[in-house]
Amino acid sequence: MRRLALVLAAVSLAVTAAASTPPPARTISDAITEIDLERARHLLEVTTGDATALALERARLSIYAGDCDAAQAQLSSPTLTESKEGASLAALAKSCARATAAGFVMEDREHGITLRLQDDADRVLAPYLFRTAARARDAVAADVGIELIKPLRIDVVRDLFSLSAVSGLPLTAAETTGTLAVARWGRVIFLSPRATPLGFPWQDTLAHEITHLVVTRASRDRAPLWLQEGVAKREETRWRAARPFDDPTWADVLARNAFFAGRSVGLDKLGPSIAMLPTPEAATTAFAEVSSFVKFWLGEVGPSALELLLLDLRATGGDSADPALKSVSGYDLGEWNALWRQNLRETPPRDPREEVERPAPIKDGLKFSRGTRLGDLLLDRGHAEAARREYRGALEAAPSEPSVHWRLARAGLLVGDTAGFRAALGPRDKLRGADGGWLALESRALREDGRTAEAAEASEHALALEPYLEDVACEGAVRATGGSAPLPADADRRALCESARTPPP
Amino acid sequence: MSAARMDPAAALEGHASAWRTRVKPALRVAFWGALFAAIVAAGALGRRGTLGARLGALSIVLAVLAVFVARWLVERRSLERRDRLVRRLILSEDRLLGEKVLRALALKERAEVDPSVGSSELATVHLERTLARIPPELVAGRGERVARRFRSAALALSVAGAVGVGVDPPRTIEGLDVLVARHGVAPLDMVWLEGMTLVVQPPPYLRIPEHHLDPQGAAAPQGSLLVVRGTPVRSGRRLVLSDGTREVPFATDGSEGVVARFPLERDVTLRVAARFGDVLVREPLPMPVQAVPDAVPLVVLEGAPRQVELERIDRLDLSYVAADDHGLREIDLVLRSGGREERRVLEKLDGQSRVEQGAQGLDVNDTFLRRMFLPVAVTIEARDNDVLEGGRWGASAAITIVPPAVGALEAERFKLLAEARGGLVDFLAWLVEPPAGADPKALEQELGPRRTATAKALKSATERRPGGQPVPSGLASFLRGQARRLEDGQPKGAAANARAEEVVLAVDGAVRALAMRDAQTVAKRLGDAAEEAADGYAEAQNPEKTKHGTERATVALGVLDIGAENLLALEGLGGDLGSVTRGELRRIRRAVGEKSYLHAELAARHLAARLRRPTPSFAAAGGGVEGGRHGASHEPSDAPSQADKRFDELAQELGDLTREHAALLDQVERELEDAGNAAKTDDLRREAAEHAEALREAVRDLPRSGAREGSGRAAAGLARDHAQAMAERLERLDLSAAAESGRTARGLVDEAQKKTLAPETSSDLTDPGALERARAAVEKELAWVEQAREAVERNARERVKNSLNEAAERERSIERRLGEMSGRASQSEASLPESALEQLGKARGAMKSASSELAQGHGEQGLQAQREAQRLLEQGGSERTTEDSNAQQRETHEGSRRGGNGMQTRAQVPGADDQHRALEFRKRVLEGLGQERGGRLDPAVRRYAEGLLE
Repeated sequence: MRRLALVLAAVSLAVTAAASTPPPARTISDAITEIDLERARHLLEVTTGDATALALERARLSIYAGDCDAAQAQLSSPTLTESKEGASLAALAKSCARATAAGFVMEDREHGITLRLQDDADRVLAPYLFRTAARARDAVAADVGIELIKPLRIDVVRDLFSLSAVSGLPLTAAETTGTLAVARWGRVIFLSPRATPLGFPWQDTLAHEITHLVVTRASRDRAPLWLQEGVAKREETRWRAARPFDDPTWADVLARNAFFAGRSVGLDKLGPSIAMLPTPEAATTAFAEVSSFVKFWLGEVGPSALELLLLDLRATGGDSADPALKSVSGYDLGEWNALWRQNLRETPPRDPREEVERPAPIKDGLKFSRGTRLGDLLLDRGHAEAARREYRGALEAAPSEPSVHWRLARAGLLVGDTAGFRAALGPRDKLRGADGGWLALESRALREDGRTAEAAEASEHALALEPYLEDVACEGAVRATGGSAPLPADADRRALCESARTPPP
Repeated sequence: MSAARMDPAAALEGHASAWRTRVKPALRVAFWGALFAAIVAAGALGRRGTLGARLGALSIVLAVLAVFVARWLVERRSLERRDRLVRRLILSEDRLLGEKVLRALALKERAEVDPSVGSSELATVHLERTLARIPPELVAGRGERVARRFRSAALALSVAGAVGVGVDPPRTIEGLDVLVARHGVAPLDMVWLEGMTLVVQPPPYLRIPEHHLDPQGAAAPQGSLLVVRGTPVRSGRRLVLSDGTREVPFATDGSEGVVARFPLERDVTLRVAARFGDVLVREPLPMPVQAVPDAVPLVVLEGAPRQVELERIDRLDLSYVAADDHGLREIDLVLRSGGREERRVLEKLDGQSRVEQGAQGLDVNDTFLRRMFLPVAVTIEARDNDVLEGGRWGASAAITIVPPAVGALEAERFKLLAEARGGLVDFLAWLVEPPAGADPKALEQELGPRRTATAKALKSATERRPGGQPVPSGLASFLRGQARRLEDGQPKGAAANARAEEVVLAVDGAVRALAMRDAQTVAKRLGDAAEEAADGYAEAQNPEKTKHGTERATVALGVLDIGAENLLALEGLGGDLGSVTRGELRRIRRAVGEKSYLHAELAARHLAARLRRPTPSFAAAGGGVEGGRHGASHEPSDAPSQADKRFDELAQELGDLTREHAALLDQVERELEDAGNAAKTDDLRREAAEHAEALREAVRDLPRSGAREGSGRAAAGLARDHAQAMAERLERLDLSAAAESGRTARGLVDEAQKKTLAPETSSDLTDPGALERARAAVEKELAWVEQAREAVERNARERVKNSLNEAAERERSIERRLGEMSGRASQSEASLPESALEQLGKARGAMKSASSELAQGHGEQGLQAQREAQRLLEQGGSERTTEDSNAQQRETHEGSRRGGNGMQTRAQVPGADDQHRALEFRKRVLEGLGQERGGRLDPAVRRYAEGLLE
């Protein structure tokens, strides 16, 4: 029945589309937007007409193909840069060419993924990036009902400055909201985990951005921002199995709290990008709201409605998604928004008893930070035992903070106190979140206990957060400053471990 | 019969011979006449010199030759065959007879080949008879007529030619000379000028008078004007002066002569010539002139070439000598590094001086040197007064200053401070986890010495100069304060290691903050290096400059390599930026490896832009969006220590208080001065003038100064001068100074009186009466001055009483606030060093004293105490940890050296515990005292000098 509906919808949309043939430049533009670069290239070869428009499309195609050099050359003509679009494209091509020149390119032909690394030191992460990207792409394609044309292009940049240069996202906006990745110009532009001192959930971020590419292709970039981000948030964890500390209710809880506290951003007030909202808090709230809304909407209309909605948007377009939304689900955005808010209001708050069982918050921020820093300084000077004392003080101030557990456990290992190491790690359910270092040491403990499958999961989870942390990269093989420790057996992991211990010159 | 018969051939030859005899001589004459005329005509036409004219002239001569040759050929052909001969000589003269002869000839020829026509003999006889009928005068007459015509023509042509030649014979010669010219030069040289002279006019800047040159060969300064004069041998010729490539026409000199001026730019061989169209007819004698170039100035820089390391010098003294063969216009100091160049004019000269000697100092803190990351080539360059080429520059050999690697100083300083921090951490570790099994009593005994040693090590770190640069003054003060806190020991009731922990975190925070600032500074300088690399690769894209461009970029990459290493040493932000730089360097080198200089340039420009924005690779207050961090772990966000911030706040407050006190001091000074001026009434001024006049009158009889030194008369003369000075000061109502002069005068009079009473030489003798009158007058005026002073002061005190009360109150208020700050500075984590606290304590004492004096209306005494308090405040204050008075002084010094107004108004006086800086400062002030005369800083310097003398 679902298939029949899809076929009928496709046929009717095809008839509608055939009735009005778009102008040639528009056709090329659509092909580029859908990341069908071969088709766009062919169309550019055979199409004649407005030379300026075609030249702009040619430059845009070059940028989509990641050839910013060529785009810069193509946009060097003053006639092209006279227009606002041309000037902006030329500025992007220039900054992009500088950031990507002589990038280190790696290809996974089997999975159809092209990786361009600004810093070739990141090549040790490439096997993991390829695997994650391939899995996420396939999972998202299955959910959304459309596949990306290969190759999937990923640019890994070294810092926010380069992310801004390659993507065109204003640097100040990226810094304000803490943008980690952008799906733009037909590819994922992704910040190296090396750039963030504490790492970040790079696998989920990659899946999130790949979803944007898929949704853009499926809707011909006509999906409204709430739908783009909502679907991306939904898909960012669906490509993998559930992990500890995953909280499926976070979006609803955050959106509900924001709603009652009057901090709600609103689905229709997201602006051009969540990355350009004024504060990181607003960005977090916005993500929670779109995630909660899309989850609610799909729960009401069923997953196939998403595929239909994207198809409708792709074929009919327009300034508003309301007609497509109404056509697919019976209500427009305003009505769905009201229904969702009603649902948020009616959702009962969490059981008060949960508060008791929930991991304790940080009691004394200053004591926590002092103990942590003193411990780090002591450990760095080789005073592991004294460091443990300071860490214990920090733990009293922040008993559920996994980073302190990790530090204490690590110091325990360094003084050879195995029992202390395990005691310092503590039970998982008493922690308030995931931490790469803690997961790496938990993996080590599990491995020592012979629970290899669980150990591998913890290790994978740690890698998904802080791949360049030495304890993570080296699978919990802790060593003192300047000391030595065994390398992992797996070749990829060994390369990662060696890179974490001795950065390339 | 046969004897009477005539051979027909012989008969005809006889007629031909008769013809030739008459015509040929005439024809020869005509030929020569025509040729002569043709040559004259050709000369006249060919003199125009153009190609067309020359071809036309040649055609005339050739045409004449052709005509005569043709005529000769026709004649010969006509006389060779009998029938033609008959036609030419006989038929044209007697038609009937001619036709008969022709028929007879034809009959004979036919009969010889065809017997059927008739007998050959008969035909021959018929021909003979016919020929015999030709009268001999027939051919002779005709020949005579033709010869006459030829002779007439020859005569006419000869006359025409002669006329042509006779009118202006050289024209024909010139024409013929031009006609046979090759490559534009006629083969026959001709004299064009008589009385020719060659004069050289050297360029005006050489200041050499014009003089004659030997035309046979001479030398002249390059750029001179060669002037050739003479009188034309023949008029109407277009005369020029030529060196073979360039021509200067002669112009009339206003009389009969002509003149040409030829600029001498290189060695030349000049010739006077006449131009005929495309052809030159030159004078026979060439005039070779050698151009002597203006030599490039020679500059010698003492000690160059050599290489010096910037770290090892405080100042580079550059002594130079510049010399030029004609004169110097400018001498510059030139600094070059990579693609950058800076020129500083050392001397602007008038171009007269040929040798200049000078010296210039280049300070190690010179802005150019401090900003450079590549070796700097220092040269002295001199420009001569050659106005033709805008001056030629001569350069000395270079002294190459090798700057320290970018970030090396900062990395070394961080290493030093990190090591000091490490010492503190070790002490803390000893406290937190004492050695297992150690005796508690022994530990108790060891605590004191360990604590003292740790504090001492920290203080010692602030006095060292890593890489030749001191620790920033504000930070040094903060660290010494923390050392004092550590030495103070444990506050009562606190945990055993609480104080040590606080100090460790305080020092750690300040050191990390410094490292972050240093990382930003170093990164920005490395940005310049990256830009230099990009410029190098941009240059390398030009195939002709590839080598130079890549070399330039390679040097810059070397700087970046070392700079990245130093950044990494700075940890935190430095580590991040260092890692980014290394990654980008690998990218640049990858492009270079592929010979893609465009990509290398692009990557280098990206790196330059990145380093000029030295922010962390990822900086977000909230921890990132996209694929969010829900439930993720947190790192501490609170700063572990606020000590450096509190210290900065305290330093700021102390600075504000010091400025407030200085303003109060200025106000009191001004009010006292105003009150004193107001007390000097017009009546007093008139009275003082009368006293002054009386004093002058009283000392008039004293001898004038100038006598032998040490004699009685000399003392009397000086007494007269001082008495007159007292009179002048009285008129100005400068009563204090007047009293001082009066006392000196009185002493000198006493001395003169003594020597008059017991003379040793005649110079000791002075009129005793005059001395007595003078002494009495001086004594009297001194008494009056003292009275007047008291009255003025009394009056002033009354006027300023209320203001002094207010000032006393404000002084008390400032003293109380200082007390509160001193308390904080000694007890809180924002601790000041011991010496600073001591100075602040003394400052409070002086303030109390000032307040008390001011309250009692003792303006001068109060002011004195205020000045003392201000001096102590300035010594006891501190800069913020982010400030560095050393750097400010360097910048100010640099600013003033470069003609800037860089007046340092916020200079801090280092305390005694900062021995190194105190010594340096003392040295600078003492030097300054020797130079400073008044000015805005004079009171501050005086206050400090007073402190130094304590």
